[in-house]
Amino acid sequence: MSFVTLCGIARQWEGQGGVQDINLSLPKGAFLSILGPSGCGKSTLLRLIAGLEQPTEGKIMIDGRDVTALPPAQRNLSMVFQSYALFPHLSVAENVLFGLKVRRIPRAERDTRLNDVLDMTGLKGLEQRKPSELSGGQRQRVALARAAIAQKPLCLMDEPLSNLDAKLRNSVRRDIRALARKLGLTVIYVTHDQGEAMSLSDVVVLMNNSRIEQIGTPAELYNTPASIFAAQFIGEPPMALIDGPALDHGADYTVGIRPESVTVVPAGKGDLDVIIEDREFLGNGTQLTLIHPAAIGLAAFLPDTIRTDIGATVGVQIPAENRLLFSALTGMLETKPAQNPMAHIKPNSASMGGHEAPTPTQPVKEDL
Amino acid sequence: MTDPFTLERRRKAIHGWLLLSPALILLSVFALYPSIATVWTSLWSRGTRRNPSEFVGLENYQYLFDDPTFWLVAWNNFLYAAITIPISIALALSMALWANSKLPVRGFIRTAYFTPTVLPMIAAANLWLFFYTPSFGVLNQIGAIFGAAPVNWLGQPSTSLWAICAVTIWKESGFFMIFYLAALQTIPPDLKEASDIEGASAWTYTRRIVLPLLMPTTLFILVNAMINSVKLIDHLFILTKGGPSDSSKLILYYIWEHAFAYFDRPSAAAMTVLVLALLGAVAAFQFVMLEKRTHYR
Repeated sequence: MSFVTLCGIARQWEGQGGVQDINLSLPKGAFLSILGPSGCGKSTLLRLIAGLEQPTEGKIMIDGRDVTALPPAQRNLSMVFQSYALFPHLSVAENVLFGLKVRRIPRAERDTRLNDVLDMTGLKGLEQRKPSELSGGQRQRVALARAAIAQKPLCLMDEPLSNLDAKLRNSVRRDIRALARKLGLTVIYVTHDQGEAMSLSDVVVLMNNSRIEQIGTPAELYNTPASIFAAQFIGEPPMALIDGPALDHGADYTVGIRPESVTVVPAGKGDLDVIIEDREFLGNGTQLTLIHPAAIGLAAFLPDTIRTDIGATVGVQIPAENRLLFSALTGMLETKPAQNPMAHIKPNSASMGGHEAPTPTQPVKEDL
Repeated sequence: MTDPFTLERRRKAIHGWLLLSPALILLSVFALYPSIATVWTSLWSRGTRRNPSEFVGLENYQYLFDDPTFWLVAWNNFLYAAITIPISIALALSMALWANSKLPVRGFIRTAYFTPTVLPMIAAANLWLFFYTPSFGVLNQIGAIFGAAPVNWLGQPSTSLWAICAVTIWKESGFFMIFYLAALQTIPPDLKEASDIEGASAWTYTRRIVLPLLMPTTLFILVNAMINSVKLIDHLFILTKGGPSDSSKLILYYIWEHAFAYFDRPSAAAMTVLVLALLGAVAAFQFVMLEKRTHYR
C-alpha cells in the first residue's frame, strides 16, 4: 500500500529548472532519500510535497488523499528545514510547542508531549534557552523535536545535516534514523551527500537535471547503476569508466567497474597497463589513483603490505563478471553483471539521450 | 624615555586619541558645548544695554511655569505626539507589511509611500496649504461635492492642531515604513514556511513571529518619532505660524519665537533645557524598559 504517491509531477519556471516527469511511490514507514547534485531539483521536489510550491503538472497523494491543491498545514506532515527555521525570539520549549499552541492542543497534553520529545532528543535542561544560545547540533535537535512533537505520519527533511561538522553529522544521522523508527515515521530526506543517503535510507531516489535518474535500494544503486551518471555519482571513489574498445567491447560501450573489483598485477599481465598517479593511505589499505588514456576515474585498493611507487606502470585486471556495460551513446546500462543475477533494475525513461519512447517510470513498491 | 615599552604605549595612546578625535571634536562643538551653554544661559537674566544680564538662578524657570502659554504649548505638543506617533507607527507597519508581500506593483507602492519623506518640508507644507485653503482648497472642494459647509481647517483653533497632525502622519509614516521594510526583509522566509507547515494563520504568524522580531525596529522608530515630535517647526512656519491664538503652537516654535522674535534668550534657553531633560528621560526609559522585552539578534 502506497503512502505517498507522486504522478507525473512537474514544476518549471519559464520552461526550465525545477523538476519534470516525477513518478514516485513509497509505502508507510519507509525512509526515502532524494539524492542528487546541487541544482538537480531535489529541494524543489520536497517543497512540492510539502505544499510550499505548487506543481505545474501532476498529482500528489498522501495517505490516499489528493493533496495537490491543499496548503501545507492540511497535508498532515512535518518538516525540518536546512536552516532549521527556528524562531529566534522564542525559547526552545516555545519553539517546539509552537505548532501545538497554534492547533490549540490542551495544556496538559502539550506538556506531556514536550517532555517526551525533549527526552528523546536529549534537550532536557535547555528548555528556556534561546536558539542563539545553542550550538549547531542542539539547534538541529530543536528542529527535529519540533517536527517530532507534531506526531504527523510524514516527515520531510531538507538537508538537515548540511550545517553540522562531520563528526556531529554522523551522530545526528543515527539519531534521525532512531527517531524515525521509534515514531514509525515515513521520512523523505533530501541530501546531496551520497553517504547519508546510502546509510539512512530504505529507498534512494537519484535525481539529475530535474528528472529521476534511478530509484532503488542503496544496494541496487551501488551494484547496478542505471546510467553512467548514477555510476559516477555513487561510491567513494565512484565507478571508473573505461572506453569499450580498450577492453574488446566495441565502440558502442563504456565499461564501468568498481575500484574494489580491480586487481593490480605486474605490468603486461593485466587487461590494461596503467600509471600510478597518486596513493592514499586509508588505514586498512591503500587507494591508488590510476591513469589510462581510455579510462576516467580508475582506482584500485591494495593491501598496505604491497609497495607501490608513484609514476610506476602496473597492470590491472578488470574481471569480466564485475564489468557493467553502458551504452556510450545514451549512457544507460546495457548489460547486467553476471555475478549479480538477482539484481532487479528498472532504468528510468529519463536520460540525457532523449530519443527513446516515453515509457512511464515503474514505482518501486515491490522492492520494499 | 627611550624605554621601548613606554614608547610603544605612548604610540598606542596617540593612535587612540587620533581615532577618537573626529567624533570628540564634532560632538563637543555641536552637542556638548551648546548644551552646557544653554544651561548656563538659562540661569542668567535677559541683558539689555542698560541692564547687563545678571545671575538669577532658577527665576527664568519660575517665570516659565507661571506663563499660561507655555502650558498651552506643552499640552499642544503632548497631544501632537500622542496622536501622531501611534498612528504613524501603525500606518508605517501596515504599509510595510503590505508593501513587503508579493505584489506585482511592489516597487511602485514602495516608491509612492516613500515620496512624502523625500519632499522638502517646506514644499510639503505648501502642498497641504493648498489642500487646506478655505473655500477653494482641495478638501473643501471635495466637501462641497457632498454638500458640506466649507471649513477653514488651519484658521480656527478647534481644527488647526489636527490639521498639523495629519500633515505629520502623512510625512512620517512613509519614512518609518522604510525602516520596517528593511527589518522585514531580514526575517528569513523559511520562518514563514515553518509556521505555514505548523498550520499558523497569517495573523498568528504576524502576531507571534513578525511583530516580536520587529520590536527593535519599533523601539528605534519610537525614539525617533518622539524626538521628531518636539523638533517640528518648518510646517508651522508655512501652515499656521502657531495660530490661531496659539492653538497649534508647538514647543520648538515657541522656543524659536522667544529666541529670535522676542530676543528673550534666557527663556528660550530654559525651555530648551526642559525639553532636553524630558527627551533624555523618555529615551532612557524606553531603552531600559523595552530592552528587557525586546529580542535582539
